Amino acid sequence: MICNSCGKNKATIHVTELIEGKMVEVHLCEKCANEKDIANKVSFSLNDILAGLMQFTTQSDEMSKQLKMRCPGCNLSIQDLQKKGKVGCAQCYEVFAQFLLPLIQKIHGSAQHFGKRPSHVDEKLNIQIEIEKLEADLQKKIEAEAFEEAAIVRDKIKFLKKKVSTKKTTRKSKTSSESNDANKKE
Amino acid sequence: MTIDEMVDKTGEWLKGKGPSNDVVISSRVRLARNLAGFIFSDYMPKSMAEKLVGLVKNAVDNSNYLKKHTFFSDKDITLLDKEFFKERHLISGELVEAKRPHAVCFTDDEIVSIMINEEDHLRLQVLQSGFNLVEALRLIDVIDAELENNLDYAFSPTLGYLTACPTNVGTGLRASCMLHLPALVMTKQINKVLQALSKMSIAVRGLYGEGTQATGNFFQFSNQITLGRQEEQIVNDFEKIVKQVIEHEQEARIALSNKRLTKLADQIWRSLGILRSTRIISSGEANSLLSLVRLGCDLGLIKDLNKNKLNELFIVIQPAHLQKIYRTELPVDERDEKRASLIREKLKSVSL
Ligand SMILES: [Zn+2]
Ligand SMILES: [Zn+2]
Repeated sequence: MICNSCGKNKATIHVTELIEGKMVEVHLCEKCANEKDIANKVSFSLNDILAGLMQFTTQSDEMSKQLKMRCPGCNLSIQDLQKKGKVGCAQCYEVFAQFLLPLIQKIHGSAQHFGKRPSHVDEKLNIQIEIEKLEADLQKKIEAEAFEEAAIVRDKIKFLKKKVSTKKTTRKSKTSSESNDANKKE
Repeated sequence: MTIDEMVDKTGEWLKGKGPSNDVVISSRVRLARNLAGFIFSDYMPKSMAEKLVGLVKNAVDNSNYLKKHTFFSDKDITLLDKEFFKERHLISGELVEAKRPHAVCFTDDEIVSIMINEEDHLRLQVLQSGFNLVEALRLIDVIDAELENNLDYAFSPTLGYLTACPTNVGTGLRASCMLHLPALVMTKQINKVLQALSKMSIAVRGLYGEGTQATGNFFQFSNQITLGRQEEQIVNDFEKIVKQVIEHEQEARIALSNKRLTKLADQIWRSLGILRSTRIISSGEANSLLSLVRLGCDLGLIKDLNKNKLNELFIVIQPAHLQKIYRTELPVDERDEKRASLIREKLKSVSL
C-alpha cells in the first residue's frame, strides 16, 4: 500500500483519523506520519485573535496604537503573538488584555479563576488587609491626638510594608536578571 | 536510574490495575506552570532558558515527594532517548522537537514526570493505572505545592496561572484518560459517542496525545476548559463523562458477546495466531491485532496472558523501544522484522 499523503513511500502506518467527528482510514508512511504529528499541533486559533481585534475597529485610532504597542516584559507586539499563536510572557496578559480577555472568555466561557492559588499570594493579601486596618486605626489615633500610640501603629505598618515588598512577587513581572534573585528561596 | 535500566521495566501506571482497567488503560492529570519574570519558553533567549532549567532542578532536588527521581537535561540525552521517553508517555512530541535548552525529570516508578521548557516552563504530570483521576489530582496537588515553595509561579488573581497558550490559563489543569474502545468501534457506535463528546468540550486524540490519531482502538479523552471552575470540579465533570463512555463500551462488549460471540472469538483467536507467527509487522498492524487480543483477555477468552505484559507489549514494539532493546539503530523494514520476533517471543507461552 502506498502512502496517502506523499504517494511515494510504502504506507506502514494505518490510522483512523477523526475528520469533523467522522472516522476515516488513512494510510501513511513513517515520514509523513511524523510530519502530520507536528503539523496537527493546535495552538490557539489565529481567527479567534482576529475576531478579538475586530471588536476594536470602531475605535480605529485606539486600535492602531494598540497594534503597535509592545509588551515591556517580552518586547513583543500583539501581531508577534498572532504569528506564533502563543503569548510572550505573563505581563502580556495585562498589556494585551483587550485582545486576550475576549478570546479567553470565548474559549472557557469565563474570565475569572476559581481554582487554587500559590500560598504566598494569599499570605501577601492577608498582610495587605492587615495594613489597611492599621492605617485606619492610625488615622483615628492621630485624630484623637494619641501620638505615642500612633507611633507604635506606624512602626507596625512600616514593618508589614517592608515584609510585603520583600516577599516574592507574582503579580508584577520584572526583567529576568532581577527576577532570578527573587526566585531563590528566601 | 539509567535509560538502560528502564528498557527492562515498565512504569507503575502500565500495570493494568486500578478501577475499570478493562476499558481505561491510564489516567493522567497535568498542570501547566510558568515562572514569574521569565519570558515564556517559545520566545525565551537561550541563557534565560538555561537559568530556568537550573532553578527548577533546584526546586525538584528540594522536594520530598520527588526524592527518587532522575533528571535529564537536553545535553545528557539523544534524540532517540527522547523518542523513547515519549513512547513511555513521559514527555510530549513538542519536547522531543524542542531546540531551546530543556529538561525532563521523572520518578523511578514513572508516575510523576516534569517537563521543563516545553510550551510552558513547567508541565507537571501524574499518571495512574486504570480509571483513577482523583488520586492523580491528589498527588499532583502535593507536588505542585512543594515546588511552589521554591518557585515563583506567574499568577494573576483574576486569570489564575498564566500560560503560554490562553487555552490552558486558569488552573492549567488537563485531565485525560486513555480508553480502549474496540466494541464501540466494531458496533459502529463510536462516531455517535465522539460527536456527543465534542459538544461537551472534550477533546479526543490518539495514543500519543496532541496531533496524533486514534490507532488500535485507543482514544485519549481530555477536558478543554481550564478556567472558571475549581480543579476538583473540572476533574469531577470530566470523570462523569468518561464514566458514561466506559459504560457504553461495557454494554457494547456484552451485546457483542451475546449476539456474535463465535464471530468475535474467531477474530480474536486469528489475531493471536497472526501475532504468534508473524515475521514482518508494522506498529499499526500490531496495535490493531493487540487490541483484539486485549479484548480477548478482558472477555475471558484468552486466559494465560496477564494485562501488565500485554500493556507493556504496546509500548515495547514502538520504534525507539525496539532500537533500545536491540541496542542498534534500525531502518523501518528491519524494525518491522525485529518487532515481529519480539512479539513472537513475548507471546510464545500463550496457548492458542
Ligand atoms: Zn508519505
Ligand atoms: Zn509579554
